[in-house]
Amino acid sequence: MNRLLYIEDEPDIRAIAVVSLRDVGGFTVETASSGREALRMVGSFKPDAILLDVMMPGMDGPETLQELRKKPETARTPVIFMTAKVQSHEIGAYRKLGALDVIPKPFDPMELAGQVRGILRAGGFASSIERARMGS
Amino acid sequence: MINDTIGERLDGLRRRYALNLPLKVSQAAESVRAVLAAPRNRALLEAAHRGVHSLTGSSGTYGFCDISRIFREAESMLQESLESGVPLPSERQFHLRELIAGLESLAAAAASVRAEITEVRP
Repeated sequence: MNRLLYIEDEPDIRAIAVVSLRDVGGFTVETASSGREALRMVGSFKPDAILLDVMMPGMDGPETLQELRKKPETARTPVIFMTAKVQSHEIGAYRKLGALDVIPKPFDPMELAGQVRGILRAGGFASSIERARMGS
Repeated sequence: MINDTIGERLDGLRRRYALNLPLKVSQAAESVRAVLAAPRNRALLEAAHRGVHSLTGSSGTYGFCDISRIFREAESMLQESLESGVPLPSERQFHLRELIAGLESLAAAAASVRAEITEVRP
């Protein structure tokens, strides 16, 4: 559970998220600027988990999730939505769509990786990084 | 040492973001003013909402919480108009215009503070 794909149309947020997830969190991170780009990437990158912005031009987060589920490489990959809209009924709606959980934006760059790891752990997706740390 | 490096990277990103912020805010402000000038034009409204939404998230993530909070309020007003399909009432339009003007001043101040920080560094 080390390879993350972060799908976000806003380049400034992608830049700071990469530092947060890779340098603070130790994840291997690839980014995509749109749902369509992500769908092209997943065949070669094969992410262990996906962070997906909800509101993007063109194909939005929920549509991207639907398309990811149709692909064998990502049919069961845990997906975490990232959104500024985090009212409780919306979180429930996103989970019904198949998201593991929702991380609110704005996020704290020093906390994001920990939030991702916590959600994956709670969802039963243990992190290989954590396993390695526990073994050392 | 590792944390210093991460802190430096984050600080570098923050400085770059702050220096570009006035231009981004100005572009968003122009898009909102275009909506206020033609409040029944849905394409303009959608474009302004998208731009403001984007800056709500990025400014907050880069630590400009006051700017993010004001953008969020503007976003919520634009969202209200998008969902209702009718222009905002005149007093809300006035408030939106004031919010946008305040944002431009805040963004200019944020950029000048960051520029000063950059200048005094060895």
